[in-house]
Amino acid sequence: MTRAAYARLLPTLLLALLALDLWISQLRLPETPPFQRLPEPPRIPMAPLLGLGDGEAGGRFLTLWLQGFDTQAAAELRLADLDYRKLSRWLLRADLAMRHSAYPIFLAAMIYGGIQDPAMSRAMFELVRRMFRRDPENRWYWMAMATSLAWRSSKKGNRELPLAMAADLYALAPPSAPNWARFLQLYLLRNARKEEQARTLAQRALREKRFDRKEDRLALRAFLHRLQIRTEDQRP
Amino acid sequence: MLTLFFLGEYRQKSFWGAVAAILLVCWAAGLFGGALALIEERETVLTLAAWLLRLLLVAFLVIWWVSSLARERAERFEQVLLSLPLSRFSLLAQRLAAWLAVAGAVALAAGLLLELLGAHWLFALQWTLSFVLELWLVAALALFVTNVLRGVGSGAIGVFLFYLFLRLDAYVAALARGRWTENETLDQAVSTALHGVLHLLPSLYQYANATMILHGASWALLGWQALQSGVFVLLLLLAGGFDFNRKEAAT
Repeated sequence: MTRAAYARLLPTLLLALLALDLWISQLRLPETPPFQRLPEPPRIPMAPLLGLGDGEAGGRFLTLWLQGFDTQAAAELRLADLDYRKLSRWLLRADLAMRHSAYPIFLAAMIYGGIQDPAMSRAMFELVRRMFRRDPENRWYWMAMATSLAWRSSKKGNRELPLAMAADLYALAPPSAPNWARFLQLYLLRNARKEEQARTLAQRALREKRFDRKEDRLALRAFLHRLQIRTEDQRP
Repeated sequence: MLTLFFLGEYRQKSFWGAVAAILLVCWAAGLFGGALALIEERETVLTLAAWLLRLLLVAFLVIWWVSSLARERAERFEQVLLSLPLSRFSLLAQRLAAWLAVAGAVALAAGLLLELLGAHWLFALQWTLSFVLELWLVAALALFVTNVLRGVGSGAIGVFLFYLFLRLDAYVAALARGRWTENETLDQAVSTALHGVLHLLPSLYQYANATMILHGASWALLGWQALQSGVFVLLLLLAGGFDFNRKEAAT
């Protein structure tokens, strides 16, 4: 094409662009875009069917679908728009299919557990406790994270759930887990002003064989020492 | 010699081109899935890639094998083969041997891709062995079914549907345990009968699955799979040979 031909084409192109712009500006998006509600999980197990016999693969497809459910073609759902009862059931299905994976407990603890509504977050943390008990060896980290989240979102005088979660960690976390996770219950009891309970627990742990590694005993003694100083400081 | 002759089928660039395209698609799909995952990216990549590799490669090989037999028949090449001084059973066995060799090469390529995507070498090796055994079963099944159903479409669909059924057999068995009718005795009888039938079939859900590529498998399980595949390949070959002889004797 010659330069003159290009020059003739340019105004046409500009006009077409202008027309397109005008047309797009006329388009009206619906004010309340429709969005899909989370369905009830079917009665039959879904994961092996999705994975065509491969349950672990099916469970992973399920978690990816669930994770992306709040971003839909016409709407970005808030967590509060999700039905947490159904969500828990879906997560449990995925968890049952993926025996060794920490993905469902991660979603429950860090994504859905972070909601501001106390009842909804409580339901999610209860689910986290259930999932943690199925495989403490690989899931202690997300349980500890969820315990911290539950502690932060709970109010004074209503600390039963985070303390119960920390007790689960104390009882079930493997020796390979670091002390900050295994002894989270001690730190939380101290912060909840239940020093006597914390002291009794730490002294009992010192007698237990489960915590007979050098670093465990050192951490427990250091905790008891700091607790002693703190108690003395608080005395009038 | 004849085996090498059958291997000529796989000298075509279109065969290896299609295998390479499937590997590329699975690699890309795996990486896409990994990008979606918030944690366990490597596990997600491997699961998606392994799952897709298994499905697409089996589907492609079934279509290729069934259509290659149909092509031979259409070009009257089968009659040339039958005129050779070879027993019909040997003809069938050598054809199957060529298919098994190609299945091994394809499974090896798939295993290497998974190793490149981050799988532990031992788990990738175990997955590859298991996938080879699965492809061998499918090859024997394709040979048998193509002898019975002579059309390309019906043959390929038949083999693939039966393959999917074998993968879901444990699921079907689990469903059969539920209550479906008002009559408990009937439910029990149906469930027992179904379990009996399913016990006789190979449990393909245990072959080359995501658990194997992520966490490995016991060698005892792989030995059991080898035994299952060996028995079924032999049975299908014998049945195919019998059918082939019967048909040729009739014509």
